[in-house]
Amino acid sequence: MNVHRGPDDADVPDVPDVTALAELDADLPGPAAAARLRAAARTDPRAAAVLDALTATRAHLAALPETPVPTEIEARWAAALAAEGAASESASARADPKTQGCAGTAPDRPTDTRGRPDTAPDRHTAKSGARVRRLLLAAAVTTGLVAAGIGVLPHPGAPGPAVTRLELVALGRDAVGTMDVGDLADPARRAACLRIVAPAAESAPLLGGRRVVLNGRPGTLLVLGTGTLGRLRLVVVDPNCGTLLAHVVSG
Amino acid sequence: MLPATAPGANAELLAAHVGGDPEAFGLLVQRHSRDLWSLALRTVGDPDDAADAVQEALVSAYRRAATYRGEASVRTWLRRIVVNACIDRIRHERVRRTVPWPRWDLPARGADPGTELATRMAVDDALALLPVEQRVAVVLVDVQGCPVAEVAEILQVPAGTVKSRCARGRARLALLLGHLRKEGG
Repeated sequence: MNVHRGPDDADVPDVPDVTALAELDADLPGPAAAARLRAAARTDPRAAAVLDALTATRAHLAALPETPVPTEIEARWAAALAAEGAASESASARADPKTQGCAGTAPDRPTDTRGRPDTAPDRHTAKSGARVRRLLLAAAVTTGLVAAGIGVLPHPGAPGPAVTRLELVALGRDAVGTMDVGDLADPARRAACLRIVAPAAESAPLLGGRRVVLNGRPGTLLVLGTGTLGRLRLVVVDPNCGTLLAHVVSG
Repeated sequence: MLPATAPGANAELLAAHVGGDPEAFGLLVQRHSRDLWSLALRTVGDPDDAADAVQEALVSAYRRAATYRGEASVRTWLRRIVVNACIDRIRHERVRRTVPWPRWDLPARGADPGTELATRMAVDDALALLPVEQRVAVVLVDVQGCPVAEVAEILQVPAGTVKSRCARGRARLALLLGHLRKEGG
């Protein structure tokens, strides 16, 4: 039997035809060559030992488990994809004739950064921000992310928009990716707050939030994940987190 | 929503992404992230490098989704992009020094955690010593259980080349793991 050695095989032991036996083990030789190798191996116990060693090696490799993706790495990926979505949408908006003051005059449709014809530039432009937020939401919810990958903004002085309970769901979806929640951005403070006013939401991941005035009362809207794609838990607490103003599960 | 195991579901998700569905790509990532992460981790050997490689690959796939023509499965397509990102990092010497596996992937329990961990570390350390072409082939075929034909598609080499790389890699691993010994050694 011939031994085929390359520069990477310098450490392969000098027992009979290890490389040829490994190729036999890998089903590389043609039928005739394989038959010759098998016949030769049957007469040499050392060859049988090599084949056993290769089998054991494959078994060890097959037993290696998949490794879970660390949460912080999933968050990095989600943030990168959200940024990519934002860049893509910005490029679409720049290429949109209407944003260049040529509304209705361009005979050719623009092409977005993924190379596909954009058949609805109006819709793309109008929904740009919402689309990015939904991408982030999808990535965050489906991968079970916590707020690690989402930027936390300082709490501004403005009280936020005035909304009714009926408008809360729409506002909540738009607030995904915004982190205007003041001290409640701190996981420990948020958990302590929710433990009292909304225990079911205590350990839910924070996907976004903002200040609001709900039915005339100032408060902080927390948009929390539920573990189900598209379903959000919306909690509004008063500025001191002493009172629950609203608790809605949407979707 | 399509079940995760539905035939063609991956291609439909990719098509939905190309068509503007903002959630489709996230679902695709969810479905394959663990698989791609394991592939990258065992190819580049360092968690940070693996994370960077997968991130590059996912962003690339996001951008290039419209170029997917369906010649290979979406899973194969994604794996190819990840492998290329890993090999690119290795060849441009952007990988960090190989270090032992981090604590987070240790098994929670087992019959003999000490022995199990030692064996896993030995196998992972040995894998890291293979030339990258052999390592990728062995990881895909022997660790991830991909058919040789699919690995040939992923690596864009003939099936015989995949088998040859696996054969050489296994022979070297058998030595490194102590299943083979040098004569007189």
